[in-house]
Amino acid sequence: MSQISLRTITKSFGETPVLNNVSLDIEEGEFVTLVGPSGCGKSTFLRILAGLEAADAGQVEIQGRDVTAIRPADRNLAMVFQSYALYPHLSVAQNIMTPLRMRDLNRLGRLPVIGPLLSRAAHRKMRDQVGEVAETLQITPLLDRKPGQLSGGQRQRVALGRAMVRQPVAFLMDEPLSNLDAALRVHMRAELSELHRRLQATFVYVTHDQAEALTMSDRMAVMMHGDILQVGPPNDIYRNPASLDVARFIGSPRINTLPGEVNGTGGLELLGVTTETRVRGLRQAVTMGVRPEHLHMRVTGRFSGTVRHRENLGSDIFVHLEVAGAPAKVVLRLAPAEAVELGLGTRVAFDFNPTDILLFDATGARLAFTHPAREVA
Amino acid sequence: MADTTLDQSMAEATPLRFSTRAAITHAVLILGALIVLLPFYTMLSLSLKAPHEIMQQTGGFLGSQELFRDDFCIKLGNAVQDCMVNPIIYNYATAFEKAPLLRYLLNGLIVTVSIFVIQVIVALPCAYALAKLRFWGREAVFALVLFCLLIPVHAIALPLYIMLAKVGLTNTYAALIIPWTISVFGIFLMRQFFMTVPDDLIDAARMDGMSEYAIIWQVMLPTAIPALMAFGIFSVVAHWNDYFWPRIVITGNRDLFTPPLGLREFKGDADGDNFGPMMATACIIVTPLIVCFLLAQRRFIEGITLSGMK
Ligand SMILES: Nc1ncnc2c1ncn2[C@@H]1O[C@H](COP(=O)(O)OP(=O)(O)OP(=O)(O)O)[C@@H](O)[C@H]1O
Ligand SMILES: [Mg+2]
Repeated sequence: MSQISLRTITKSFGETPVLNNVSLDIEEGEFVTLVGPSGCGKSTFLRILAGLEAADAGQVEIQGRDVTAIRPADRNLAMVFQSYALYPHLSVAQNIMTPLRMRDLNRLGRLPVIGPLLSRAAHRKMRDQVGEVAETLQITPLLDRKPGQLSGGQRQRVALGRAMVRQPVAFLMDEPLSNLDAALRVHMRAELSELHRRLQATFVYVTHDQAEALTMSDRMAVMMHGDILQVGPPNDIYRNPASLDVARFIGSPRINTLPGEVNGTGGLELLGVTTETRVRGLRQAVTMGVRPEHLHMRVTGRFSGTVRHRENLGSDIFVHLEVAGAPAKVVLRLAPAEAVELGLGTRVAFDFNPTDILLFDATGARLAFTHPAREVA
Repeated sequence: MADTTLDQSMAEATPLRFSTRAAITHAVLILGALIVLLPFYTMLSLSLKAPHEIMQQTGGFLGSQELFRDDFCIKLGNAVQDCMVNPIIYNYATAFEKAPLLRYLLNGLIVTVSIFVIQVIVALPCAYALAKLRFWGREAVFALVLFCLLIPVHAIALPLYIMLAKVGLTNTYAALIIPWTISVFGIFLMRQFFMTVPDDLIDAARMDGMSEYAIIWQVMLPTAIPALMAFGIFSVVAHWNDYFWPRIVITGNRDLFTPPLGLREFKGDADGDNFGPMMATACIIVTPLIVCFLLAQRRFIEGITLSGMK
């Protein structure tokens, strides 16, 4: 049985439907990422899981217990917010201690001055726990500061500390890295993965950044327009997207799409070229998707285009080609050595391996296809 | 590079430049300040002078500070040379002798502090609910709050008085305090401030296990200190200086007089108005407020800018 399961969650704000019958199961110790474009309902979904928002219909179960009607504090989840939401008037140590104070102390023990005197042992234990967490996150020197005196990355860590100190069933994170600069974000990505390995805890992570989802998660759920379109390990979703929307959303630069057609004999025609790819089915318009790294510059290539833009990333160069008949520019990923003499305006011939393409029908669903074995140079 | 040189030249030029605009602004502000300060000048000056100097408007700001004859003292049958007094000592001593001024000050303190504390206890939960909780009819309730802001106290004074009289509360501290414990202005001000507190902070507190009341007192209250200070100053000043309401509900018992009521002791006596001691009393009454203002000056200005009540 899974540790957390959300069943047929439906939610609308007024007239606007935000979630339509969304279900998701999360296993213990998993790092699950909810990824999707802005406004697709990820945060709402996470807040329903946390109990901060009530669903219109559907159930939330945590460790086999129906918690749909239970308040956030009693679900034993911890949440890291995008804005970190640290208490501005409390020091870092007090911030981290707050969830412990609320859980482990009675009303008397929480009183400001006499509290620590009355329940000395409890307070000592709490201070030790805070110390441990601070040690793990390497924020021990910051414990006496106020959140206002910290950098973004440090605040992030304090927010993590406040979530960790309680040993919750799961950590919920809503775009916790989006307020950091690019370099720090990459660094924190690695740190979060490391933290997940060390704590062996369940992480539910929300982001609109597919790079974060791809790098960190065990499984990711792609959400769009209030539906979960596909759930699976990042690699599966990248290689084997269930629909055109998913294929377009995952991967940067975006997957190249070319309009094509299945002719009467089941052959795929692309930009006037009849390929050896066979599609079972009727004559129909299709969309072919191929990732930039799967397009190769080749003198004998069946397709060609003119270089309109070069994006140099150092290790890779992305060349944007204008191809007659293609609605958008076609992007190729090239090694720097290959791209040396490709100035703007150069004509380039390219091709792809027929096993690397993805076919979608007019509704955006995947189409199965076969291809006779072909030698690849 | 270009930026830094520009900055430097600006920094050097600013103190030297004469700006007509700034000069006019300052002239207007100085004039305004003089108009505001004039009554205080008169009050302080009169509290330092002898009665004949006050009547004849002589003696400048300080007066001559000559000893003068205290007629009341002579009436009591004392020798003339025993009744020669210094005007400052006479004015301030009379202020304390003739009325239990310390008692009045204490009453003022009790009343204003109680009012403020209860106002906060009522206003914070209301403001929190209006700003951060979603419930049916919230907008209507807030509209009601705005509407109540428009009602002048004088309009409801009579019904209030009758109600208090019926329950037999006139001439008690309760009569001075209860009518002011619900401050719609406080609710409004704090609600506006709470609107600026991020929702995430409240959600974080909920995740940490705080109840809604715990959130109000442990999260909202500490973040709202600047707004509370501003509200506190408005509230304390208004009720410390209030003459109208205490005059209505405190009718005989001098033990319940607040400082402004104390001023009446010097008015309309059989032996005429006694301006010196009266002004001395006024000085004593405003001093606590002025001291508080000077101590909390920066917070006060922050608070006013914050509430947008410039
Ligand atoms: N309190 C609310 N009242 C009305 N509509 C809301 C409310 N909260 C969210 N919405 C709407 O619900 C939709 C989903 O919001 P949600 O915050 O879940 O998006 P998201 O996927 O987290 O987006 P982002 O990546 O920008 O954070 C949006 O269209 C938003 O406008
Ligand atoms: Mg969001």
